[in-house]
Amino acid sequence: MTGTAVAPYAGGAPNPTFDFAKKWGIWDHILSPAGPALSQTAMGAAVPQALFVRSLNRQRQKQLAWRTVANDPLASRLAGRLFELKTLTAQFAMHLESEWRAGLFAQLDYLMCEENWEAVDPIPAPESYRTALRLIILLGHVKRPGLGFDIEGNIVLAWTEGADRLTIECRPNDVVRWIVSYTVDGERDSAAGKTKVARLPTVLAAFEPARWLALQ
Amino acid sequence: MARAPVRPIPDDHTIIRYVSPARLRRDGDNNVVGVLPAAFSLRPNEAYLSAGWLDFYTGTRSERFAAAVNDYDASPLVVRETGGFAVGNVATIKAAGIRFGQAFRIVNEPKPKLDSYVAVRRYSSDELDLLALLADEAWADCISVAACRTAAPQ
Repeated sequence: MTGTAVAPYAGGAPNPTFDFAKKWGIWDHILSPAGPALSQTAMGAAVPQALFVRSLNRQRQKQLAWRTVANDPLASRLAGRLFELKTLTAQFAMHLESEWRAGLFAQLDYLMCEENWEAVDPIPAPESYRTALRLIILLGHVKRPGLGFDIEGNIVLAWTEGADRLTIECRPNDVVRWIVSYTVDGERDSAAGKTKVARLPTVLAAFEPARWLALQ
Repeated sequence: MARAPVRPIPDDHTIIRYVSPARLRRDGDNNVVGVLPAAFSLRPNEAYLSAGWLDFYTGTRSERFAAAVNDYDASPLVVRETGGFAVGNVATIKAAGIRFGQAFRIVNEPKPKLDSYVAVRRYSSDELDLLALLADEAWADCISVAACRTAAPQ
């Protein structure tokens, strides 16, 4: 059955998750002409398949809602995951200034859309993003990094000051791979390693990280 | 049908590697400032690093970029407007490999509709330092796909 813009659980009881998705502006995307087709569930309701929506509402924060999308198109999977990452950010919102957070979201919005995403790349993992958020909060008030993703879907944080560069790949479970490259007396020097988030400030201390991280 | 000949790329020539938007290096305001080390990672099913031979084409530098993008468009490989190309000199890239004990073999291996296709063989992306050296120095120049098209014939 192909998709038309019909309400989920048509004819059934009120659906709080649908209301939530409408409120946060993702439902129209889910049901856009290029969006997913719909299929019938055992309950007879037309719902998209395999779209995972986590409620930001505190009262429902632990309730997970699965929606089914017949073709599971990339755009819908990205939108669902993007929403999930933003929701995760909300848990750390008190530590992030609103402008800083808005810039972070703008980068995520840009990278995690169908036009900019390689279909062969894994969808970014929330566990990697959680590591990135924990690292950012541990580092304190720092310059907002550039974002990227590696071929495994891990988020990459990049700080650049001319030829001096700090790159951190955030992996699940607070594991980070870091790379610094900088110039000393006209010679390029570099170092790389793998550690846990909590240890990173100590590990980077020898490289004077303020050159990358300090706010102007 | 006979296979197209495989031939080494001269050391003084330039090769380009397509970099997806997610592996372009950006500043905090989303401006592209280079390429990430991850741009040179091999996927689990890849035996070599893929690239293109810029000097396979003739004309000015911008005309060669435009011709390369046109060929990519005609091939099964996908290049996105918001992606970019990392640009590097063959000898410099080989020298970077030598520093990490890797003797790259950079050869032209024509593919259907993409005669300029290049394979960087004997390449391992296990060394994070090597990826950083390529991204920050040896293969660091970057041009957007959109900019490559500016010299494309209308």
